[in-house]
Amino acid sequence: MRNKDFLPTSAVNLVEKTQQSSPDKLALRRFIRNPIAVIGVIALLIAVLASLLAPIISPYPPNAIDLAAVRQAPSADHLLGTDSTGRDVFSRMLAGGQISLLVGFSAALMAVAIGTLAGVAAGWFGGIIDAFISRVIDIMLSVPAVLVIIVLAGVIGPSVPMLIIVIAGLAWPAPARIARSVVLSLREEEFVQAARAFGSRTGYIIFRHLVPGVLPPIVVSATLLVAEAVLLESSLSFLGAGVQPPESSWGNMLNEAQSLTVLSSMPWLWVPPGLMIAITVLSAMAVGDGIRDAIDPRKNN
Amino acid sequence: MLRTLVTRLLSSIAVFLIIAVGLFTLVRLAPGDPIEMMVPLEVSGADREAYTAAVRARFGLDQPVLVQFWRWLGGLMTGDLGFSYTGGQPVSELLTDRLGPTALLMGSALTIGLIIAVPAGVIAAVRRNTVADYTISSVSVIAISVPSFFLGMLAIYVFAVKLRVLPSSGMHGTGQDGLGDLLLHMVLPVGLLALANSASFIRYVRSGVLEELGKDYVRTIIAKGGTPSRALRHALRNSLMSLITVLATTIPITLSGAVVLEQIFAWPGMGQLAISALTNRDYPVLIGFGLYTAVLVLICNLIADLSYSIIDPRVRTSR
Repeated sequence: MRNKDFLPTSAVNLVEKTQQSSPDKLALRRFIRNPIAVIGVIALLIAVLASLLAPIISPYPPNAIDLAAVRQAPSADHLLGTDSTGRDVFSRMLAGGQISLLVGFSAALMAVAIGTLAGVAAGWFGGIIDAFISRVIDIMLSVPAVLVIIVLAGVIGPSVPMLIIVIAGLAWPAPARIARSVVLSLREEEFVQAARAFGSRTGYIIFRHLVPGVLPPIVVSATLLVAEAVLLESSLSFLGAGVQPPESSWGNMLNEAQSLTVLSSMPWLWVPPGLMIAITVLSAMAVGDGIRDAIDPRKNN
Repeated sequence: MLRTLVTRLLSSIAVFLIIAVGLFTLVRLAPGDPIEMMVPLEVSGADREAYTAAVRARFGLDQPVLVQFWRWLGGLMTGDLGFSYTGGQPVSELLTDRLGPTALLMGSALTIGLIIAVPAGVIAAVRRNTVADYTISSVSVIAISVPSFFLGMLAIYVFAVKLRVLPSSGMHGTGQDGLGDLLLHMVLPVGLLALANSASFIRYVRSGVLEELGKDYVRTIIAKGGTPSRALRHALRNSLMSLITVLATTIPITLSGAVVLEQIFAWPGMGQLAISALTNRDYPVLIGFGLYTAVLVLICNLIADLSYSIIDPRVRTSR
């Protein structure tokens, strides 16, 4: 039995309020009050759920060719019509979402993992390690990922794992720079100094004290990276350096709709996947901005 | 200053060599043997082996790898990038021919992007948290989030198909080579690339001006009776300096954007060349394109570094 049962109701409210006011809960409350961020979360959840449930809710197999139903306009049978080989556009869009989101999330996750470690190492060890990592970050930030992947796809052939690894390999400098600057200020904090004075091992300090401190801004960076990776994947698939047909992705669905006849008379082939890319990227960015404002309310003013 | 220049230059050359080794290895690892394809099919048996060996010797492929690399590098230094598998033309010639249209596209897009971004960013910063700020910020977020190829297709649909006011592809109409015709063809691709550019510049200008406006010297100007516009002039000057660095590092990224837009608008630039090389697995052209990109990235980084230390004397002395 807790002693709040003996307190008057007004005091109970007070107790509950103070209990709720941990920084995490305050941040969560600020996040929920941000309508754009909430819409972003809902939109992303719908996109993720639709992709996960694609095998169940797809009315047709995504790659099934039906020459009796070519280039049909949207109807009750085909919600978003069919493409030039009679494949159901709605089913292809669900299947395409799977790949686009897979690439987006896994590339962002990998980039964040590499970036956090590199940034923490640079900030903590300083000296020549910091100089080297910082220099690499500087150069990498201006490397055009699209062009690197075009060259790689042309020489060793395009594939989804290559796409994920190369996007992650080129995207890690952004989180790394953030992690580095946070660690630079954390290492001077008293609790870190105390840990050092106790003789804590470096690995312990890094994973117990530094990484948790770096996480909030890194989460923001991660959601923005998801947006960036989805955008990159779609551009590359559009150019033919990403997901290869007959496998669908939002980007290569637009590639197949490039001819002027399709463009002008069959908008159902290219508008829906284009909108899906835009909505997913916008949502991920809105969520990222929402988290940033929620964990750092000063930035809002 | 000279020391900075020399060390930066040397490190850029070192990075270029690493990239060159990487690309060279990539070609060696590439699937399929181009030499096999050069031997006529009707040559068979021992004749075929001898023929293949002769071709290898002719291209110097019978030499040790290090010798091959050294020769290849020597070729690079004299601008020899090999020959295209599909057309047979020298790669350097192919790329140089396409340089002009791409430079025109990127140059005008960067200029227009800056012309839009600087005033828009300043307004967003000065009128922070007002309707003007929110409008400018949302438009720039949307411009970053909506893929340029989708915007391009929408633009073609609206302006070329429905309204019929602008051409949908190429640099010139058939049988026309006037300036007016060129400008008309530039509107859509340049406009979209400029939009994407200005969107990212606006964010830098806005946050840069906001940061400067919060500094002590601005308060001093106001305290001494200076007008807000005078304070803004000082803040703007200081924040635009860092924009030069951003501009330099953005140029390679703009090339990515140009590649995508060239593909949609059939703009005869380097991007289109690279995409057709990708479809045809034309390694020499792809490698040449990769090397051009690497040089562009390194030069832009060098400019960013140097401009930083020229603009800001504190950086110069601290090194």
